Amino acid sequence: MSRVTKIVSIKVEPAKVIEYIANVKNHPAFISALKSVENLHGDPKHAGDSWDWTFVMGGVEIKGRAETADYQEGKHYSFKTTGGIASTFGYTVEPEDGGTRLTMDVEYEIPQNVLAKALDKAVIERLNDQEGDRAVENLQAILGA
Amino acid sequence: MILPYVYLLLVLFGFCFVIFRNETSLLKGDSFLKFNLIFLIIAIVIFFFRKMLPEDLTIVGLIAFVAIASFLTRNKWLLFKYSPVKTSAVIEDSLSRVLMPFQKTEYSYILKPIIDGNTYLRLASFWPSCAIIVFGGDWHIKKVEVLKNLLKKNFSGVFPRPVIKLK
Repeated sequence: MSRVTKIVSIKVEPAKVIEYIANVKNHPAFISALKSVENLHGDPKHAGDSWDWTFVMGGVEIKGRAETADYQEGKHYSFKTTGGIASTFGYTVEPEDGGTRLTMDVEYEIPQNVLAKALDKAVIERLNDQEGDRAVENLQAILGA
Repeated sequence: MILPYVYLLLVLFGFCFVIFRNETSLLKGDSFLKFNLIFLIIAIVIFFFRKMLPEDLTIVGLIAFVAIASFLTRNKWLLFKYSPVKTSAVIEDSLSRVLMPFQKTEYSYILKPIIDGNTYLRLASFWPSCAIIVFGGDWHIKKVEVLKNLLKKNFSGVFPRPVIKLK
């Protein structure tokens, strides 16, 4: 499994940060490679409720499904992708100097058939690490640096 | 020189994809400029490689003319098969997703509060089902860059992408 962990400070209270992130329709706004979130079934704060996603990687659209794993109000939100790519996205917030310390933690595994069709594993890991940097920078810009 | 035929063929393919697709297609001004600059550079290289034949110079001139025209529209987006109601809804949804307050006028969305208050996007139709989006003011601020990237995701590109569906 590969992993991306990013930590950032945001000048907004933790509850607002996790509320924004737990609304999965907002994810294309701060995750650059995420094109769309559609067919949301239920409330994304409820464990097991799911949606369809489309990522763009190397000029190729990759479509899959995800479901909420855990939500703790004002503290944590996580979801996992289901199907061909196993991954878990976790967002944890803590109070820090009147704002929020946000930790984004992503674990993922890319199956060999997708690798063969797309890019080399090391390239994908580097791209995802850069994507992680962009995601937290975008969250800072949207919510307030 | 085969280059102008390749250029025209790509433009024709793009046109066909746009015409026969049901969704709104987006042609970004800066992408069209890059496309023309690539062909201009290739045309110039061929011109010198073939010892500056007059007909090659004509082709360089024609592509340069198109490149200059596309430079003037580099900050604009062209929408094909657009719906005024749906596109306005997309713009307003994108603004709300990035938590950007705005003031809507008849044709524009003024982004508030962006420093001098002159940052806006304007949507104007110019042909049946075609429209242009103009970005005015300073779009190099991080938050408005995020908005622009999100807006782009809501439209299809001129050429289709391969799709992998995970099960």
